[in-house]
Amino acid sequence: MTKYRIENGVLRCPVAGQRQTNLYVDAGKIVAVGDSCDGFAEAVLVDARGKWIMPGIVDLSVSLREPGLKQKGSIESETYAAVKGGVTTVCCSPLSNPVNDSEAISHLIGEQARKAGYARVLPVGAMTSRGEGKQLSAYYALRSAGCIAVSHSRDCAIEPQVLRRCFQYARTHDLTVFMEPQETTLAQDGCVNEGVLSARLGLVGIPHLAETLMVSQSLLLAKETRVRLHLSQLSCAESVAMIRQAKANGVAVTADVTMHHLLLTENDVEPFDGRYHVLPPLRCESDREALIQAVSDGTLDAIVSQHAPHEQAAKQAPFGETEPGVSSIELLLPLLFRLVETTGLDLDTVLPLLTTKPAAIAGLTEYGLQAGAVADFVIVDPDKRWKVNASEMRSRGKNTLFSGVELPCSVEKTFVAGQNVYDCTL
Amino acid sequence: MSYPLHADEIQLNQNGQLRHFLTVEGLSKALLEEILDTADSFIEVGARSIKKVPLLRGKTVINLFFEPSTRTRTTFELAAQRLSADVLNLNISTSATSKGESLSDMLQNLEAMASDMFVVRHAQSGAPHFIAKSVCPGVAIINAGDGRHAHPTQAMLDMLTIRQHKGRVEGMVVAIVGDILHSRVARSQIRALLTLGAAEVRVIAPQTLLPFEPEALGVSVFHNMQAGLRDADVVIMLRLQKERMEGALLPSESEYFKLYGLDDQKLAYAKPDAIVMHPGPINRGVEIASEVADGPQSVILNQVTNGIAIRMAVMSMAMSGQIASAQNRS
Repeated sequence: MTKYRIENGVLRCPVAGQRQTNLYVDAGKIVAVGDSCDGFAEAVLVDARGKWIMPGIVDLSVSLREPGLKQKGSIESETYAAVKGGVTTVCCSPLSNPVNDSEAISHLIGEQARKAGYARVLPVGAMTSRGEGKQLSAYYALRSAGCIAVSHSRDCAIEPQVLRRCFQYARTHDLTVFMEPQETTLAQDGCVNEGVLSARLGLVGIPHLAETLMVSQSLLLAKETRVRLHLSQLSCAESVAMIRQAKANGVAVTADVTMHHLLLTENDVEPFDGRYHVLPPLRCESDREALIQAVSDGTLDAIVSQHAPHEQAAKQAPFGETEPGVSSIELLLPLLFRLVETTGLDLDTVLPLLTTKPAAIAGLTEYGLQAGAVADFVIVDPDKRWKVNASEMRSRGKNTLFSGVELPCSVEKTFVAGQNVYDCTL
Repeated sequence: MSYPLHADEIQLNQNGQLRHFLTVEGLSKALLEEILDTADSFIEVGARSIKKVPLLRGKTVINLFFEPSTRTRTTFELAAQRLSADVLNLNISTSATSKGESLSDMLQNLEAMASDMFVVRHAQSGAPHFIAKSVCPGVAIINAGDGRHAHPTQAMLDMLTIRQHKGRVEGMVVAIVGDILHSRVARSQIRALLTLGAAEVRVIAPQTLLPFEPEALGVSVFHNMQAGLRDADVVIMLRLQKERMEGALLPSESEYFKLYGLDDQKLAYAKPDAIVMHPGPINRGVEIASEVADGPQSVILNQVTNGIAIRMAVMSMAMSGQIASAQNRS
């Protein structure tokens, strides 16, 4: 395995702190951090002067589309897009075709990811068989096959009794429950926020209540069952208020928000442009402000890409008939810098939400930029500004919301387990 | 409330001429008045023995109706024929898309047949925008009703009718009654009325038939006919789809008619010379009583007649805008 000395970069790490130093990498690990390392003979020297070295990004919400949806993306194409965006670990949603509700599919995903050799992939299993919300999946088998959690998707109804048993069974097997909170009958046929936008454009709106009702129910069930609950992709001010209260009451809950919900609102929606069809929908400015506040005060624990690549045809239809989702993973880290630039948030506040905190939720140990940690890290140029060009994206999906937007940071190199898996110069 | 207008830039060419007619939103008062004036000039064509002018001679207009409609399709067809266009009617629900062809592919095929204009009705809000922007930018698209979004020619024929009977739209107090939530007609009427300077636009409906934030549309909201119709110059009744009467939206036809159906007694709340409009087809005894529908204040049949003139106006203006755009490009 190649030995690397990363020289004179500035560490930006919630664990290791901030300072200019060298990083020594061997056999997939960071063996030392400092001015020198006795007896270390590097094979490759990387000059990182003027660059920042950051821990690899951990993305809790990614659809890799394989198996079954390769017209949208493959594990190879999307994990390469991930490392281009500084993401070294992706938690892979079970929403493939078939849904990942089995040991066999989990193994297949792991195998394909290893073969591709880019980002680390941690599968998340479906909470119910075929994701239908009716029958428990085999949690023991899923966990044995490497699943770090079980999840329930927003577009499937699930009765409280079934959900309660899922929570109980997840607790039995020490699995975290990922919930995308949405009460399906309230959201039925909806494609935008219920509010000014839906009133004006005549598109079917999804009320805040569709999310908050399920957040409330999930929190109550988590309190009762004492499962580790992770609420994913929140969009409403009321949701984060409830989570803040639940945390104060000792409920074991964590939560995330997508990068696009922190940066955009329904006012940014280009009317009838299917790229803006995302679920949950982009909400109001007051919601965005509440989400930013929740990032700032620690109520939210992670920022995710909610990467959902689509083939062109999936977005080429009248708005309500397009498939929801954005291709976003390869912009995740640069967008973090845009978030810092455009809001009152500072990098030291938000960086843990893409690194240490999601790493903990995903159960990653040996994480960070300290000696002994797994060598998952990113070298970025914090001063290199560039414009997003959708056609140049490495993801098979070109369905970005940020085409033409100038971003304030560029990913130069990405290392996963000590391997240089992305280099912008190559 | 101000709205971003970028969505509507596609409707106009570089000279500010209409090249598609997708929505009233974002169009200027001057342009709406130009449509009304042009329509005025076409009204006499319908009274001639030979009801034709040569403005679209040699042009091909395709009526693309993805939803069933008789009245609207017929008036568009008549309007195109009176402009001397060749007209083709396609009922899409029973043809191409049922064979699995995508909307984009089907439209590109039709465009490749050198069509000049598509008149589009579709169940999805924004479908004509999608067609104009992504699929057929070189063909003039006229929206004949999309989902819950817009029915701009219906709104303009209503404006023409108001202007004919009241002399102007400016300063009028207009009450729109019924299913605002699902109504593309109401959304377009509201924008047109506000752009043309109506003094007040009121919507009257139970909460279940209103959008979440109706005030954002620029209207006053009433749940009560007596208060909502007070001193109204114009009363527009909306069609209430009977399928919406059941379930959780409304309890029954009889309760709806009792509270929101327009009869002589409720009409008396409005100004004595108020006119009564309805986009049709009307459900007698559900949203309107026969004595009102056929009464002296009803202008419902005038609306139908005006529909042809408005559609002629919009089609001729959009075609001329498209031709000007093409000339600029070449």
